Amino acid sequence: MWTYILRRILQAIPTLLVISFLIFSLLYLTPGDPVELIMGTEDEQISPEQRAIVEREWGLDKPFLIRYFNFVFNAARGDLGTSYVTSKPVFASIMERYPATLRLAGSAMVLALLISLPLGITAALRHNSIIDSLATALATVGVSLPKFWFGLVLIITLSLKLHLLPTTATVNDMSQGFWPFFKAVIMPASSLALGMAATQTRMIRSSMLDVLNQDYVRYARSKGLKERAVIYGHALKNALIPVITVIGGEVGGMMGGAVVTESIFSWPGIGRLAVNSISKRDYPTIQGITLIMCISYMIVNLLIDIIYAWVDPRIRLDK
Amino acid sequence: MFKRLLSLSLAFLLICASLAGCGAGSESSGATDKHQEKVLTVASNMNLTTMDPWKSTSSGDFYIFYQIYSRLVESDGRGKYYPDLAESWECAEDGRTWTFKLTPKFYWQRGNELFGDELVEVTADDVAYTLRYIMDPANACSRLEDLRSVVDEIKVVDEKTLQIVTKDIDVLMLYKLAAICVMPARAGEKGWDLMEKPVGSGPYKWESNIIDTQVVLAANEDYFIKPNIDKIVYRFVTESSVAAMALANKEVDLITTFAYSEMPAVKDSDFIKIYGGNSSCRWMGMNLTDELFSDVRVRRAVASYIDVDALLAAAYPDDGTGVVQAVRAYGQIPPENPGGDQERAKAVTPVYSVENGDALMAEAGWKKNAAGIWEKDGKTASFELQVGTNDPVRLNCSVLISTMLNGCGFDCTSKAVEWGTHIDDMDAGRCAMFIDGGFSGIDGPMKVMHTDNTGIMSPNPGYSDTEVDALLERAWTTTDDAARAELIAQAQEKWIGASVYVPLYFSYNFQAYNDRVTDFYSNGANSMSFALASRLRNVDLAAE
Repeated sequence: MWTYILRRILQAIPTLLVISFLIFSLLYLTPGDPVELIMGTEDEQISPEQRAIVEREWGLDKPFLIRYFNFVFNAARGDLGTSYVTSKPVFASIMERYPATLRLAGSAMVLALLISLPLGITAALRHNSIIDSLATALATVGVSLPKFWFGLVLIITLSLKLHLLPTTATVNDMSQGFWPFFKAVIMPASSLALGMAATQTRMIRSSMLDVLNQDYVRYARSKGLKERAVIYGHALKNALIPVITVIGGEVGGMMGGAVVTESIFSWPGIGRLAVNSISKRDYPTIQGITLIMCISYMIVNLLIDIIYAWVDPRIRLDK
Repeated sequence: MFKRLLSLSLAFLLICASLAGCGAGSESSGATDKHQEKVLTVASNMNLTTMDPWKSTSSGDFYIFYQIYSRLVESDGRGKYYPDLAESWECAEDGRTWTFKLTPKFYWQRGNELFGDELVEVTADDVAYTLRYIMDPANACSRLEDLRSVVDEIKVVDEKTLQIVTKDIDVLMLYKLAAICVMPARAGEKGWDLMEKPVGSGPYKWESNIIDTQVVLAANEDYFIKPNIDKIVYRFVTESSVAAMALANKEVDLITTFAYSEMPAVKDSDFIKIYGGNSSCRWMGMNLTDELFSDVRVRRAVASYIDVDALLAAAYPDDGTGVVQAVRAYGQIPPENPGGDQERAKAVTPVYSVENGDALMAEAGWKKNAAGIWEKDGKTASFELQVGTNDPVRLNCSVLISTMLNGCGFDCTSKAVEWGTHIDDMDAGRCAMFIDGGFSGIDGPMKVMHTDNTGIMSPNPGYSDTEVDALLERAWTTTDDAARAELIAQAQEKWIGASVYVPLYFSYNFQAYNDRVTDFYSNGANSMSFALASRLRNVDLAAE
C-alpha cells in the first residue's frame, strides 16, 4: 500500500510541473499590466522610476523562464507568491478560506448521499415501479437545474417568502453552535447537493440493477439469506465501486471551491476568493488557487483508489 | 458492507464537525441584538481586501476605514471640503503654505492595548508622522506616494497646528489629504501593527472580522459627538441580486453599491429608498492616430451621425419608478464638478444631423461607393468599435452606435472584449474607436485632456492641443476656485470642439437603504466616502 502511495506521489510531480507551466504561461500572456494592478493606478500615470521600483520589488523585471522557475521553487516550499491586491501571501489567503470550503463540500456531500443512497437503492429494488420512475424523473430534473438558479430559488422561497433562513451566511463554522451553522450552510449545501444527488441516484440505481442480476446475488438468495443481507451485504458493496468514482470526481471538483454557490450565498471559501481575484485580476492568487485545486484533485483521486481497495478487497493496489 | 458505509459517513461527518470548529476567521461578531442596541447592517459588494488604509486601492475598504480613522478634511470628491480632524485651514498667498488648525478634544480610540484607558488627544505630531510615513518609499504606499513629489516641508507649529509647504502650487492638496487616514504616532513608536488591530480617531472602533463575511465596528464613546448608531456590521455580499433580496428581507439596512438591474427585486418594498449620486461620464472615443479619425471633419461627422438622445432612451428605458439612472452628457466633466458647465459644452457639441455629417464627409473628400460605404483613395471607412464586457449598458450602446454608423455609410463592427484586454488595447492605441468611462474626480480633466497623459494612461490616444494644455496648466496653478473652474470649462470647450470623444451620458452610482436609516444624506455628505457620524451628519436608525 505504502509503495503504491509513494509511487503515485512521485508520478504526480511531472503532472504538477506541466500544470504549473500551463497556469503560469497563460496568466503571463493574459492582458493587463501587473505594475498598474499592484499600484492600483489604472487611471493614473506611473513614472518610469516608479515602474522600475515596483518591477524590481516584485521580480517582474526578470525573464519569463526565471520567473517561472522562481514560482516553482517557491511553490515547492509552500510560497505561492504575494497577492497584487491585498499584499498578503497567497498560500495563507487560500488556507484561511479552505476550511470553509471543506465544511460546505462536506455538508453537501453528506446531504447528497443521504438523498441518493436510499433513492437509488429503492429505485433499483422496485425496478419499473412508480418509485423508480419518480426517482429517475427527479434525478433528471436535478441534473438539469443550474446551481445558481436553484440557489436563487432557495433564497427567494426560504428567505424572502417564508423568512426561515438568512439570505447570506454570517457564520461558516460551529463557533456559535450547531443551529446557526446549520441555518447558514443548509441552503448552499442543498444547492450543491442537488446535482450531485441526482448523478449519484442514477449511478446507484443502474449499478444496483446490474449487480442484482449477477449469479452471486442469485446464489445468495438461493442459500436462503435474508433479502436485507443480500442487498446490503452482497449487492450494494459491489454496486458502489463505480459510484465511488463519481463521488471522487465530485469531491475533487468541490475542493477547488464551489465558485458559483459560494458567490451567491456569500460563503467565504476559496471559490469566492477565486471570483474576487479574477474580477480584480489578482494573478498570483488565481495562479495559487488553480494549483491548489489541481493538487486537491490529485489527492482525492489517490484517496479514491485507496477506498476502492477498502470496499473491494479483490483490488490490490501493490500488484 | 452497510456498516462500513455508515461508519464512512459518520467519519466524514466527524471530520466536517471538527473542521467546523477550527476554521480561521471564526471570531464571533459579538452582541448584535437589534432589540438592545442600534445596529446598522450594511451590505458591501466588495470584500475587505486589506486593513491597511495607506496601501489599499479598494473603495470598499475605505467605506470601513473612514469610520475608524479621521482625516484632516472630508471631501465629496467634487471639489468641496469639510472639516474633520482639522477644524479650519488656510492657504497662504504664495499658494504653497497650508496651515491646519486641529480640532480640540479629538481623541484616539481607547480600549485597545495601544492606548489602554488613557485619553490621548490627536496632535499635529500624529498628522506629521502619518504624512512622513506615506512619503517614505520604504513603506511602499504607492497610491499616495506622489505626495513626495509635491510636499517640500512638514512643520509642526504647535500641538494643534500643522503646516505643509508644497514645492509648487498644488490646487489638489486638499483632495489628496482627504484620502489620508491619520494614524497614531504611538503605533510607530511601539511597533503596533495597525493592519492587525486598527486604532484610529474616527467615530467607530474596530471590533471584529470574519474573513470575507463581515466586519463589526462599535461606537467610539470618546468621539467629539456621540454616534447615534451603536454598531455597524459590514456584510460582504458580492452578488448584487442577493444583496437586493437581503435589503427587501430587512436583513440589511443599506447597500453601498446598488445595481440598478436589481430594481425589480425591491420596487414593491415601499420602505426602500434609492439614491443616485456621483455621476460618471461614459463616452465613445476615437483614436487620432488612426488615419480615418485623424481628420477632425470625419470625427465631427461621426459625432453628427450619433443620435445620443435616442441612444440614451434605448439604453435606459423608463421603468416607471421615476428614478433617473443617467442623464445626457455634453462634456466629460460631471455637472457637479468645477468646470462641468453642460450648457457651455452643449453649445459647442455637434448636433445630431445626418445631413451635416454627410456634408462634412464630402468636405473631407469621402464618397459613397456602390455598396453605400464611404470611400477615399481606394480605402473604405471600415473599423471596429471596441467595448469592455464589464457593463451591459455600454455593450448595448456599442451595438446601437455601430448600427447608427452603419446606417450612415460606415462599415462599423461592434466588438466586445474582456475588460483587461480593453484597457490594454486603449492604452496601446490599438482601438480605432472605443467606449470608455470614468475620470470623474476633480483631477479628471488633466488626465483626459492634457497631452502628458495622452496615449500613456488616459484613454485618448493621439490627442494633443497646446492651447488646452496651457489652459489646464494655468487652472492647476490657480488657487481661486471660480477662476480655476472657468479655465477648466474653456479647456473642455476646445476639447469638445476637436470632437475627440462623443460624450454619451453621466451614469449615477446608486445606494439603496431602508427608510428607517435617517440622516444618511444631509449637508452635502451624499456619498459613502464620509464618516457616518461627523459634523455633517449622524446617521441613525428609527424604530420600526
